[in-house]
This record gives sequence, C-alpha cells and structure tokens, in this order.
Amino acid sequence: MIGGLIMTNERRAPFVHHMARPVSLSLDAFIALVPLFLFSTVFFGSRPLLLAFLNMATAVLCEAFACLLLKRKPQIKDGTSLITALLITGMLSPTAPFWLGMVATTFAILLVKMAFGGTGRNLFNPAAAGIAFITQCFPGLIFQYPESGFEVTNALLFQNVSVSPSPASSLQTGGTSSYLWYEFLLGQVPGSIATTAILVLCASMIFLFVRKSASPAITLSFLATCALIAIAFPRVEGTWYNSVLLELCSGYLIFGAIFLLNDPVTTPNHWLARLFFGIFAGILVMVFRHIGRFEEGLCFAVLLMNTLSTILDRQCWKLLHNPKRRKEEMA
Amino acid sequence: MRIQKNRGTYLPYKKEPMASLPLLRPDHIRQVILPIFSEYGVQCRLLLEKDSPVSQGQLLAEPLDEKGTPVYSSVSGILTDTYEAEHPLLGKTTYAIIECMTMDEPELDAPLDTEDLTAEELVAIAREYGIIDEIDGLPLANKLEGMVDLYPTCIVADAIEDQLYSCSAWATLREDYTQVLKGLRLAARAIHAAEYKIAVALTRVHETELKKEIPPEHLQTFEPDFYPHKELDDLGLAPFSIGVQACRALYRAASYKEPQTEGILTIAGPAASLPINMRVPFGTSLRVALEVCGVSDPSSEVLLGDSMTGLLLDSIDIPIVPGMTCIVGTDAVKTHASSPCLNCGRCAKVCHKHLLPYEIARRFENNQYSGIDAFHPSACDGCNACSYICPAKRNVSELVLEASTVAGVILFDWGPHHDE
Ligand code: SF4
Ligand code: SF4
Repeated sequence: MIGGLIMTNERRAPFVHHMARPVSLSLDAFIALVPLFLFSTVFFGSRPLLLAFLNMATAVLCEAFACLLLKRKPQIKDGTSLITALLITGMLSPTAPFWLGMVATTFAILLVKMAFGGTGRNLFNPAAAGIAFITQCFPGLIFQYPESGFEVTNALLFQNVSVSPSPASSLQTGGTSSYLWYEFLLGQVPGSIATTAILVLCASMIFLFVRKSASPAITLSFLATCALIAIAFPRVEGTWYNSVLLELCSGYLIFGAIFLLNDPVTTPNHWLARLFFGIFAGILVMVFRHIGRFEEGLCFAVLLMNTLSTILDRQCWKLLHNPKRRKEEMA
Repeated sequence: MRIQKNRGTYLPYKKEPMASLPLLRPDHIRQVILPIFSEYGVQCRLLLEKDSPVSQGQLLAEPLDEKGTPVYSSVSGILTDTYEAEHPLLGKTTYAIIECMTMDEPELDAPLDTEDLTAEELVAIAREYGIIDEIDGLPLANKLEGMVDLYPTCIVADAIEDQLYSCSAWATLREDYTQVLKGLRLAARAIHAAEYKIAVALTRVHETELKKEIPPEHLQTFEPDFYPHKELDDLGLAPFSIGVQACRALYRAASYKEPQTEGILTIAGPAASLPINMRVPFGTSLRVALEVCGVSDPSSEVLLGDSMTGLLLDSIDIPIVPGMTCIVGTDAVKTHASSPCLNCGRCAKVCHKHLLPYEIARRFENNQYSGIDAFHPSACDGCNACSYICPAKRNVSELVLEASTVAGVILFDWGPHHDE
C-alpha cells in the first residue's frame, strides 16, 4: 500500500553536523594552557601541577554535586569546569596554600556557573569571579609572590616566605621596577604561576588566534588600549616604552587578555562588539590599577564587562545590519 | 570565472563516486504508480479505462484547466487499477497503477527544427509535454510565463547542488551537455532573455570536463563544498533559474515531441552500498530504486532530499515524482543530545541572511515573543547552516523558523523594550 509522505517524524534536518563539540572549545584553551604550566614547573617544581590537579578535582566534584542537586546529568565532559580550574590555578601564586585555590574553584563552579544553570548559561566568567572572590577575602595571601631563588616545595604551608614585590605592586606603590625587559619575556619576575612567561603567553595567543578560539578583535584592542593609557598616564619614571612594558607585562594582563576575555560564553560575538568590549575592558583595568585598592583589578574589569557583553553584541549587530534590512524591506 | 561567495560554511565532500559513475537505468521495473495530478488546485481527468494497454509517452490524463499539466505514461504496459489516496504534498489524488511490460529506450526520429519556434509556441510546448521543473516541482510553462513579465536579461540553469550528496544535475549535464544547453537556449528565447548560463559548483576535475563542452560565456562556476550557495540571489538571478532536467526535457519535447516521463535522481548515503545516479520512469516505487542501490537494511532510514534540508521519510513505498532529485539512505539517524547554547556565535557567522540565530532562539525559548520581531526571524530561509555548525548541536534553525510564526505575539509584557 502506498503510504504517502506523511511527515509525522519529529526529527528534522539537518541530519549532518559539523564535527565540533562543546569540548572542542575547551580543548583549544587546554592546549594553550599546557605549555604555561610546564614552563612554571621549570621554576617552581611540581607544586603548580599539584595545585592545578587539586583545583580540577574540586571543580569536577563541585559540578557533580551541583548536578546531583539539580537532578541533571553531569556535563563534565565538555571540559569547561576543568578550564576554569586551570585558569584559577594560573592566577595563583606558586606558594599559595592549597585551600586557597579550592575555595576559589568552589565559588566559581557552584555559585557563578552552576547556580546560573551551568555551561552556556553563566553570566560571569567563573574563573574571573573565583579570583575576584579570593582577592576580596584574602588580599594578603593572593598577591604574595616568592622571591626568585626561593625554593618552592610541596609543603602544605610556607612559613617565612621571603616575599618580593611583583612588578604590579611596585607600579602601584610608585616605585621603580628593577627588572629588565628580557626578564619579563622569560618570566623571571615574581608573579603568578602562568602569567609571567610573556613569550610563552604570546605563543599561546597566536595558537588560539590561528584556531579561531580567541579573537584578535578583543585581545589586541584590549592590549592596545592598555598600552595607550600607559603612555598617557605613566606610573613609573622613565621613557614611555618602559611604562608600556611594565603595565602590559605585570599582573594578569596578557593572561587575562588571552583567556579570560575570550571565553565564548560571556563575551560578545560580533566583531565590532568585540572591539568595543576590548577597549572598554582596557579602560576599566587601567582605572582599577590607578585608583583601585589592589595591585591587579583585571578580574573585576572582566566581571563588569561581562554584564555588558550581550547588550554590546545586540546593539552592534543592529547598527550594522538593520539599516540594510530596512532598505531591503522598503524596496 | 568563480564568484565571491556569501556567508556560509564548508561541507565534507561526499559526491564521489556518484559524480564520476555513468547514469544507471534500472531495467526490471514491474510496476509504476502515477499520481493523476496536474498542479495545486487543478485536477486531471483520466482518459483511459481500466485494463487498457498504454504505451510509453501516451497521454494518460489531461488537465481540467487549460493552464494545467497533462500526465503521460512513463512505461509501456497495462493500466490495471486506479485508487485515491491522501498525499500530504499533493493533496487528495488519484493514482493509476500501470503494470510494466517492456522497458526499451524509445527510438528517436530525426530532430525537428526548433529555430523558428516563437516564445509562445515554446511555452505551449512546455505545457503540452508536461514538463515540470525539478528544482521546485512547478510546471515549467507557468514559471516561464511568470518570468516574461519581469523582463529578464539572463536565464540560469541551476546545477549548483550545494548539499552533501546530490549530483543529479551534474549527471544530467554529463549525459548530454548539448541537449541541456540547447534546451536552455530555447527557454531563454521563451522569455526573451539575451543571455543564458549554466551555474555549477564543481571540483576542478569535473569543471575541466565541463569546460571542454560548454563555451565559457554560458558557464557560471562557483566554489564546491560550500553551503549554502546564494550567489544567484545576490546576482538577482534566482527568480530566473530553472533546472537542468527541465532544460533537457524542453529540448527533447521541442525536437522529438517527447513528453517528460523520466527523472534523474541521486541515491546515496551511508546506507547505500552502491550509491549512484539513476534515471527512472516517474511513478517507480522508491523502494525498488533503493534496492538497486543496496539500501536494504530495515534499520536504515531514508531522507527525501539531501542531508541538510531533507525530510525523514516514514515510508519508502512512495512513487518517484518530478522534483525528487536526491534520496539519502542513512543508518539509523542519530539524534544528537543538544546542550545549552555556548554563545559561541558560530551560527551568526554562517547565516547568509545576517541574522542572530542564537539571540532569536534565546528569546523564543524564554517566551520573550514581543522582542523577537526586531531580529527579523522571518528573513530566515531555512538553509539549516546554523544548526549544522552549532557545536552544542542545537537545532537553531528550527527555533528560528518557529520564532518567525510567533513574531509580534505578546504573551507576557516584559516592560518597556529600550533595547529594541
Ligand atoms: S536556517 Fe535561517 S537562521 Fe539559520 S543560517 Fe539559514 S537563514 Fe540563517
Ligand atoms: S552555534 Fe550553537 S552554541 Fe554557538 S551561539 Fe549558535 S546556538 Fe549557541
């Protein structure tokens, strides 16, 4: 009997899909982060890896717990919580106590990510929120960087760490920095685990640009804005390029420009919106650095910008595409 | 010369080996089932009694309206029965069952001279010989008549086939380049267009093959593997495009007085062990055609049309009618679990209509219907490129399409819309 074409079927075209999965977005970030961590083990031994591992375990447990509460299948496979944990670790001091990163990760996953509904629904960048949280709560611990030459072991707690001021803090206190440019490039300055090795960071950045996982429109406009402000309002004595070098290479600036500002979920998609996003974020960071309480205000700037991203996106799209469509409709 | 493309994405290339193999003509068709149907709203009257012999190309039914399309028998045999059935695409229709006796290639006389045919005569030929355009399933005569009023300068034979498997237009061209070109020239004359072009998107190998046969001024090439090809829209030629099978049929109707009784379709896909392009008489059961191509596994599912925009068929016991150019047999279609939107923006990047699919989908899912209008979901043409590219495997295009039906409906008032 001829059945006829009765389309009762629920499944609709397309019946083929691009091979990208949610995990492919995290995978690129993961690959870009690995060399940074390897590089830091050269300086600090295995402690950074241990911190990273503990944070990742915390992230997975938190996500599983939240999914249990929500009666939902855990989506750990997509890897976003692992990336969050790695980013938080990257912004910690190598001598940070183990619990500090775990607190940040727990806050990031439970309250910033899962409370809003999990991957894709979070309004704020979880890693930035986690770091901002511990910056507020434990300002004394987070910016304590060991002097170069200090032997970092896997001890539970460090007593009497000989702390040395990071470039960011010397910028804040107005002193001059005694580091040379190549020391910055090679990461031989006091700083967090993954944020000091500028050369490796640049390699990661290029990798992510090539993979189209990071957008030059955000990263470069952000860095350019920061550099311009550093020229206009220098905080150190000396030539303008000294100021630019110090501002860009200190703190989380380049690390954040690559990883925090390019999180797909919380940043705009339109190229014009991305441009504005980078510029505004740059202005905010420099404002926080100039008048803020802490030596690094990047995470706060990122969080503030996250709230604007959807609006920026939509308005830029309308600006560019609506006049055309209106004309089409008139015709 | 290849032309700048619009937005879109690249698809994997799966047209081989069908595109390189010769056309198959199955010779063991026992029965055809022809819908006695002319066009929407125009019924046909069956001319023959039950159990009367018919020969291939014999007039089977004539339309009750002078603008309708007649139905010709696609095989020689005996008209055994008729019955009525509901057809979701065609409406309530009568089917005629013809038991097939012989399947010979018809002998062709010497071609008639077509040089003196006027535009009106050509349109009348297209109507008289029941030529249906395979691109949209509309009668060619009506399409040509509609085009004349727009004063076109160019007519295009659309052989682009931007989807995954389909290459039936290429197979039609390859079988006889000159007949298609001559038919296109007749169509151009029918609408008083000065230029006529064949638009293709082929790999280098096939393009070289084609260039040997078709003069460059009648060829418009586009990049292969790209989806969707909307350049004809951008060039303003989309309303003036017809199918290559219709071109061929027009030529053969004008020179040999042969009605269009056969169609060429691609049968391919993961479940087809012998993917190929075949020429079958209209009315052949899809089941028979699929068996020829080795789609016999009962768990495999069949798509009408290609993978990007096709429909999943519930039953394969349907007759092949004009307008079916590609059938894809797949292993049981996987339903991908979709996860929430990652806001990655890829769907917006591939949308050739410059929409924001994720934003429309988000508003639709949040019942924020009042604000949807500002994002023009009605501009979507359902190309499905956004759903293809989405890493979260969301069926964004379906949401956009549904959103276009609710645009402007206010369920809840969410306060003033300052951002619209
Ligand atoms: S289906 Fe619609 S929204 Fe999606 S890419 Fe095509 S035109 Fe754009
Ligand atoms: S492609 Fe999918 S995940 Fe990405 S923005 Fe569009 S709907 Fe969301």
